[in-house]
Amino acid sequence: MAERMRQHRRQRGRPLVRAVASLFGAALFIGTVAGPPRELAAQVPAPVVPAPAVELQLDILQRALGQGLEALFTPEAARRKAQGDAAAAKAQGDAQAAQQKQQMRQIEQMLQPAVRTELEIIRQACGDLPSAVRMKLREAARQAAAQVAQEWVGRQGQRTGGTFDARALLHQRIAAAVEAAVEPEAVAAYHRESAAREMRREEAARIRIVAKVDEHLDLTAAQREAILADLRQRWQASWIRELFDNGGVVVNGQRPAPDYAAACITPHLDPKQQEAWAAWARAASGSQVNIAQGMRFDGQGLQQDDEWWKR
Amino acid sequence: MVEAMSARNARQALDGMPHRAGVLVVSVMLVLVLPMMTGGSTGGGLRAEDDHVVEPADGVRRGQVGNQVDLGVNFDANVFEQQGGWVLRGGVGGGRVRVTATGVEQITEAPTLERARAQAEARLARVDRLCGLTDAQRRALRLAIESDIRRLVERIDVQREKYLGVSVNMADPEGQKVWQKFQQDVQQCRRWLLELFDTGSLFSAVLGSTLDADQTARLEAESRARRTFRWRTLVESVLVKLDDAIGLSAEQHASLEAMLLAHEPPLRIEGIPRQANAHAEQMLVYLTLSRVDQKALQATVSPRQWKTLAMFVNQGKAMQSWLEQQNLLEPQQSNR
Repeated sequence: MAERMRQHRRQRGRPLVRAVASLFGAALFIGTVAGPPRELAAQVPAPVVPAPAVELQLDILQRALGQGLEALFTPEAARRKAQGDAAAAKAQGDAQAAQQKQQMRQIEQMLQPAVRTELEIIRQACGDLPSAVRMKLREAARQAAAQVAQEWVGRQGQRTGGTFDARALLHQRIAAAVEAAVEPEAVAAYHRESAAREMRREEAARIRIVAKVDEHLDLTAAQREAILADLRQRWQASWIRELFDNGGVVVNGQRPAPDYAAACITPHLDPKQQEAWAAWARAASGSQVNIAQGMRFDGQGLQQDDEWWKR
Repeated sequence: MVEAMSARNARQALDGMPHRAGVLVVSVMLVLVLPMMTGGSTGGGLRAEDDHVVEPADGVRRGQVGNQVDLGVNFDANVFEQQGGWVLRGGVGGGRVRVTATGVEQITEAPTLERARAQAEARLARVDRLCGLTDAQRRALRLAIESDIRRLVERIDVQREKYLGVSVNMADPEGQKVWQKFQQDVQQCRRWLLELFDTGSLFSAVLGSTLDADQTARLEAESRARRTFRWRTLVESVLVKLDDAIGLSAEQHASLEAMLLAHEPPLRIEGIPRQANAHAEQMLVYLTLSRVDQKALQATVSPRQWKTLAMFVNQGKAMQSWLEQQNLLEPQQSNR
């Protein structure tokens, strides 16, 4: 065993020794051929070497250099390099996987308050649930958090665009589990609450649109109500984006105009307001800015576990 | 420059060479080039013959200048630039200078407040739209606006004059004291800007005396409606967040909404900053929740929800003094 290790060390060291020795030899040749440094050339007479001898020396030098470089690139060295590269790649992959796993655990932890809120919504809407169903839903919620965390980590560093709404994804997955595990009447109650919540969000978005226009154009009470009514009538799901405008997005020094809903707004403006609206929409068009884009999660939720789900 | 060329030549030389030989060459070159880059023992650094090096003169090195703050130069930037939309033209520190035969001197004229006029014109237009002003009323109100603006400019000029040519050393306790006084004066000027046409202004006084009873009633009704709508916007927006956080049922949402709308605070509706302050608005709603009947509030939600809601309410309460500085409320009310 010891002999094998010594042999291995000898083999490993051999190409390098050969390379260094060859290069050293080449350097000695350079010394004899090239002669003394330039500043001494004037003082020291150049050695008298016949032309064929110089050619021979150069040939030997060339071969020695060639051997030195060749020694560095033997198949054995190449094989060891490949092995080393593969090991390094594996180590890097392992480190990345460990880092991702760690990130997933952290995100899963971060999602817990939102998971508790989802469970609270179920408890409020569905009333008393059998213990077995509670266990199923609790497990489904745990899995939903793990899946969302995994998607979250998977999305990081990718330029995929669009919106990643962790809370909405959690809700979708948990809602699917509710549909599968809970009695139909309770599911209906749960859906009624979910629908009511969505309607409240839409109404809040509409009010925010009107408020934004009001701040910019000084609407009258009648104008505000007329625009609000128009928005209710012609509402489009994508306009919910107004909920995400917290004032952080500024275009040309102004908050983005909700010009995606222009058809519901402009008919209710007077001529001066129309002018101001057109200038605003030109300078800071809200249609051109997707405020909702990116990762969306504020981390808010219930702070403590509800023991009821564990019973 | 020399080193850059060497590196470029080295890179070109390396192209096409096998990897390990490349490493060898680079190592050798680094040994040769590194002493040149670091300047060796001479400390010359990366300099070529054609480099033009300017050494700072004694006494004006950055570290020393860093502690000195010229308050006169900083005054306008502190007063106006953080006010959101106030446009400053000229004035000390505004950047305008006058070139004379003897050199360059800074213009110390009073700043022109475009935003003040624009704001006043917008307010006048709204009053006109609601009340149908006569020419005489419009003229009187415009005069009042101009007087208010002039008075503001004069008041700010007086404050600014105090700091012309005053430079303080921030590393010195005395300098810090002067800086604190400076900040107080800046805050005062910002308040004047914000309350330019509020109660106490000539505009407000003329408006009260020049409008007839019918016009006044219409204006008051409109202001009330506007304030209520603004509050409703804040309430609905914050309830969406609260809904996300504690999962409200429709019934719970309706109860909280009713409680909040019934406790409408005296929100400022004129001269509000264009940039929304979402955090301040959220805290104001939580503060308002702290003023409703707490037993009724607690009874509205489940014990699990209450633990989190109570935390939010306490956050709002803790932010009260900060909220008073955010200009969300009418000044008389916020000073209470």
